[in-house]
Amino acid sequence: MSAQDAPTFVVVGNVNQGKSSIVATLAEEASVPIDAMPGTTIDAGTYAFRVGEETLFRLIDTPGFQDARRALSWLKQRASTAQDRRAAVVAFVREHAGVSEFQDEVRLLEPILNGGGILYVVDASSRFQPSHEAEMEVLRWAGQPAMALLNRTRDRDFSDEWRPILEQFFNVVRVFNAHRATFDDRMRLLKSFRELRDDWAGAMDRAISVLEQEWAQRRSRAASEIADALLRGLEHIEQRHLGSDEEPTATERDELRRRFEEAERKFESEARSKIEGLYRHARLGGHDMALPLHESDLFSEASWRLFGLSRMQLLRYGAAFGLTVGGTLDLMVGGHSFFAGAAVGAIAGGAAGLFGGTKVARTLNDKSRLARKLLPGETGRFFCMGPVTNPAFAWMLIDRALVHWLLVRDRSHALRPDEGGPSVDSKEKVGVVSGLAHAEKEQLNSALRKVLREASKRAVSEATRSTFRDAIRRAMERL
Amino acid sequence: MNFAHLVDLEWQLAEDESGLQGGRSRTEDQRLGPGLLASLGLSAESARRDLDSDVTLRRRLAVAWIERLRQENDALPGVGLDRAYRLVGAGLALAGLLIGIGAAKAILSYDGHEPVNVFHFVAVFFGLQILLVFLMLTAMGCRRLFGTWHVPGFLPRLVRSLSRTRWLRRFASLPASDDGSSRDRAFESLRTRRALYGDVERWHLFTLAQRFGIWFNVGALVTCLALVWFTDLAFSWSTTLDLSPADVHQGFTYLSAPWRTLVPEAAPSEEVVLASRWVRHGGGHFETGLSLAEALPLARRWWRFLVSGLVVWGLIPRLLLWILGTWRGRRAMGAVMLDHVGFQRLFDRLAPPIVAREIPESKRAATLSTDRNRVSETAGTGKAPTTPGSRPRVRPRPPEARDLPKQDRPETAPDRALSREPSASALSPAKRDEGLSGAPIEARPAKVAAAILWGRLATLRPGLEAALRTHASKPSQVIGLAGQADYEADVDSLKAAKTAQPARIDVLIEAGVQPTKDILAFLQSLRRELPENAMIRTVLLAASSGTFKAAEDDELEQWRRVASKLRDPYLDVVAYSEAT
Repeated sequence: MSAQDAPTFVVVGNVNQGKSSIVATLAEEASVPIDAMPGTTIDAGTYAFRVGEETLFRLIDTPGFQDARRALSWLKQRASTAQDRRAAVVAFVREHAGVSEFQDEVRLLEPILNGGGILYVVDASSRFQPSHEAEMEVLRWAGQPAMALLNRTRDRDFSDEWRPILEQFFNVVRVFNAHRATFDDRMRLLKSFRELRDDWAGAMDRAISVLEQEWAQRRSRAASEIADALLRGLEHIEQRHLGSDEEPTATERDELRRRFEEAERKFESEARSKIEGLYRHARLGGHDMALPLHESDLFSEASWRLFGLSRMQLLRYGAAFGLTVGGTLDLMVGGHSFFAGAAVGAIAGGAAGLFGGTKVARTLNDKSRLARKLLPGETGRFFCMGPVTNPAFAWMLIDRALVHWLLVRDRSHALRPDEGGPSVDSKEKVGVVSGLAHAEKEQLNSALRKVLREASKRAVSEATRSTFRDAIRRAMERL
Repeated sequence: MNFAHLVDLEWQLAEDESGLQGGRSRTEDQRLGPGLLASLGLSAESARRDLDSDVTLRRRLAVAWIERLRQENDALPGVGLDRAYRLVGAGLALAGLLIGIGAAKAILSYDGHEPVNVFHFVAVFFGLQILLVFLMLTAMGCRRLFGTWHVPGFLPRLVRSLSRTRWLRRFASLPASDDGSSRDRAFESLRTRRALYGDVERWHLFTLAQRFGIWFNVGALVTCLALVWFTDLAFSWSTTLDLSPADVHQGFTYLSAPWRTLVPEAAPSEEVVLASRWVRHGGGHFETGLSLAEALPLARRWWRFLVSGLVVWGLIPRLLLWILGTWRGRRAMGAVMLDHVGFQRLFDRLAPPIVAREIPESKRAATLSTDRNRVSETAGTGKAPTTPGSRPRVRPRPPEARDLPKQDRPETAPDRALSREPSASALSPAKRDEGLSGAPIEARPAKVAAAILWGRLATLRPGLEAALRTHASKPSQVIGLAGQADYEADVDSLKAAKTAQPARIDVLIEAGVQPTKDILAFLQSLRRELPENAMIRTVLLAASSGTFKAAEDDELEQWRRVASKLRDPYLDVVAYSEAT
């Protein structure tokens, strides 16, 4: 479909009704100028949805009506019958093109007269005024298919008052909150665009299908990015070289821990940037989204409190892990231990899960066999920290990544970087892993334990990585 | 009151307004008020009574207030700005002096071979200056005739530069600008009020320019005299044009007309002119064959002419213009009325108005009794009751007068004597319906306050009028509707406003209505129909189930920012709670 034939929707309405917010949300374009001050949009801007060279549809953001009553008065003087109305609108645009009088009205009517469908946006938190009627009348005179969108910019809600009025003027009336719209809301709205003109239905179906495919691809890529970042974080070892007769001081140990923590933060931050880029929120650029997730440092007490599994879940998973290890030992001795291994393993594992504390990783020196195994190429003196051994911390990492992904995924592009997403009570867990279905949680736990086990030998296999990615992807599909 | 006071007052008021609701302005000023009034020997009642009509009192109170704030806050820019203004003046004087010296030295340079051409001197020091003065007077005349010659926002621009430029800020002893948006709002506020201080700005700039001119002429004069006294100069004139010595003499005669009778030797005679023609052909010589040494007596005649011309055509006009500028500047400062919205709010805080409230007849006695009790509780403390919900003091009134509760946030309009007209509720149902339908409403004189209902509020008129009567301290009388589907209603309202000529008009607008060009154009049209300093208040209110309340703060802020673009110092945007 050529750019000329593609359905075009002109977003119009009074000033400051949220037109640009709707365009920003639908176009996933955070650069659309949006401001609480009325009259921010001064020129019509076109946002095209393309697949390769094919334009699926276009959205045109317009400046709002500034003087609809006078415009209507002008039109009425020039059209005595319904037959003359569209011609009067054409004359209106022609006469006022390039002059300051009615410049906003001209800019919004021009694309409509060029064949654009009308998306009339009203702010349902304000009441219906006589000037709105003038706007709707002017749009009706333009003679293009039209749809009304009830947006809300404040808590006040007069949607019920608006609906019967809008239904008198528009074929379709929909509610759409640009600041809270999710992908599903957007798709529902695009589906309703089909109703405006029959010959646009095919193009819109194709657009919806393409957008849904793209959405699924984004999730898959996001899962890979998150899993890779998590694996990097879990496997990371921070080391420091020592002189031949040198022993690490307390200050040096602190410095090593600080560097380890910095590295973990960096892995998280890089993953977040990639996720934000995937969902076209690059402008966030690491900006906080006014959520505990971002307010809390990865290694803060709040982070332990807000994310990850609950203590009981950690106890259960710890006990199960200990039971497995102890049970294996019991089997190795042919059951002569009367399954004491399983019992002790379960108790020890459960206790570790419950009282595991906040120690993230072990600090080792070159005398340790494990350290030599972890860093086989090292011949001199050194001490190191990592990889991550604490399952609770690993769960917290996963949780923070998933919560961030969810916030970015559901974040409207109409929000500015400093505007927050949904409010979260910071006293409660804000994470999502504790709420996952049993099957996903089990799969994730199993994959995570395997990663931790293999990471402790610095031997995470490709199969384990793949299992971990799948577990993350599956969890994300359920969220 | 001086320039520094004015700057500080505007600065502080703008800062108070940019801080939105509450803050220092309301509570601290209410606390300061009684003390300031006492220091001026005024009682709260007399101050309140006279503030609206007595500009001297307003100045005294405003100056006392700002002086008090200066004691508490050394970050006010007025003194620094005044210093900056003086520095600019001194800089211009120095520049003028140096340029004058340079110009005179260049024009009077004589190396003993070619005499100084008096035409050059006359062109630069007489002709150019006469031309400049002429152009300036023409520009002033044009302004008077056509209202042009605007100085583009000198005062607010200077204030903004001060707040943004580090070295200027340091020079003016201003604190670091930690809140850019607050400064910008203050700047917007100043720009809005520029119309009020146009003359002050203009004459201050005018005086600065004259200072440059005076010192330019002084520099030229001193250099000229020094060269005459301490060196030997020879003067001549030469031209390619077909000018006879008689023609040239005639020109010089015109130029020396002002002083010729007083100082005849300072006007070149025809013989001198004839003898001074210089010809460069053949190495240069006087046309009459005079040698340079023989021409020395001629020079005595010439320098007197040139110095006299410099004084008469250069220095004296500039001095006169400087005196004019200083006088007009002072007069402009004296004409500052200090009556715009910001000052009205300030005075209302310092000397809270005694306001009226209509209450049901059955409750009047009880309320009056309560009010009086409360007055007695606060009497003698010198403090106005400021607690929300506290009952006001009551001014003794004739029996038919209304009881008068004071509002927490006082009125901003002048507290003039009420001459109550029949209220709109007294209209017949037919009349009321007429109003609802947007049909023309008969304009009745409303000396104090009138109201226009915008848009959908027309349908809520009876309830709104009742609410205004019940809650408003000085209820405004609805004189028209606007923002209706029919444009005629706007026109009728403008006509009604023109007829009523109220001291204040409230345009009541429902929350959620955006400040479009449509509404702004109406407000501008309204301004044209009203007295110059009549207050226009845009009252934003939210209507819900027959009750009315204030719009949200950010809506008010949006409206204020947009309304400030109209640059109308008597246009205010207030919440419903403030209006009532």
